[in-house]
Amino acid sequence: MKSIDQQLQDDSRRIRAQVPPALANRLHNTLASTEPGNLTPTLFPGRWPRVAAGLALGIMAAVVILMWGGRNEPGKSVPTVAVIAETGSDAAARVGLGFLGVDSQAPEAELQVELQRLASDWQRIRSGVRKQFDPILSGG
Amino acid sequence: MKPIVDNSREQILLESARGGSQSALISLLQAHQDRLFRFLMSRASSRADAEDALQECLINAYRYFDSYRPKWRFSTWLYRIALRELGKLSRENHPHSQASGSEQHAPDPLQMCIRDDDRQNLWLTAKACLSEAAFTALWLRYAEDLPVRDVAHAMGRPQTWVKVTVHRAKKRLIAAHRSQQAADKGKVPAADPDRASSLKCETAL
Repeated sequence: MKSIDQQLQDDSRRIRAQVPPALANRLHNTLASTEPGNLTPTLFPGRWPRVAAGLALGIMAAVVILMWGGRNEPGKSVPTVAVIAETGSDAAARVGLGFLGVDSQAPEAELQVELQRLASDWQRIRSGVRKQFDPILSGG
Repeated sequence: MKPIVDNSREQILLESARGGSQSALISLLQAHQDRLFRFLMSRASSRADAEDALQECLINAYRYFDSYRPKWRFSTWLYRIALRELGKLSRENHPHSQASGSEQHAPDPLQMCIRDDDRQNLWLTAKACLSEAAFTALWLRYAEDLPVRDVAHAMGRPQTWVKVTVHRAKKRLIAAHRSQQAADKGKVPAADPDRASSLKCETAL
């Protein structure tokens, strides 16, 4: 007696189907007149190079947005750390410092010192980044 | 059914297609179309659906050939597209999973592919007593001779699911086949076809 696997394979060989000639012709004509997807080698073949390129673009865009947001001009938003540093101690500042790894339950005076330190760090980073990117962004 | 294209020829055609040859890609798709059509006939609810799905499948394969990855067989990729097209057609035709009256009486496309004197074909029993997913897994595994990992990829399921489903499907198919044979021998009155079909289907997954 044949096994079920063998029986299934044998029976499948007795199932026959052929694409009707009219449909086959129509398909051939349709394919011949269709623009194929991408038959030429692409700049980023494969999924991961495309993902990496997308990530790199995203990071660059984020840096640019951060720099423009960081400009301390009227009507422009400024990063959270700068806001915290300028507004002194309140609930939001404590939460923000908590995220930065500073003990948010510390006494007020210690928080002020920490905020001053963060503010000066931020100013230093911002001026450094500006020096690098302002000439590029201004087109010079 | 013999393999549609031997491996070496398929590789040559694939290489040419990847190099930008439209005619190689068309030849490749044409080489697979009969086998793909047979698969669609086994799964579709009507011949017209199978033809529509074939057309959409081949056009999409042609259009999105750049998304094909050589780590899978070309046929596996085609079956994956074909299953998606079948799903789309099924949702369009039966948005509420209710077949219209005319379709309920339409001949089964799978039966059209089997000679009249071969009504004992096990695949007819499989179609009657297995769920669509189980039938598809069984078909891809045995009729198309795909390895489990390719079946899993084509169906978008884990390999474990395929192994378990195929195993259970075979067990139920054996039980259904035995019931059918018993019915044919007269243990179940032949004049009561509904009883015989219920025997076949009571083991449905």
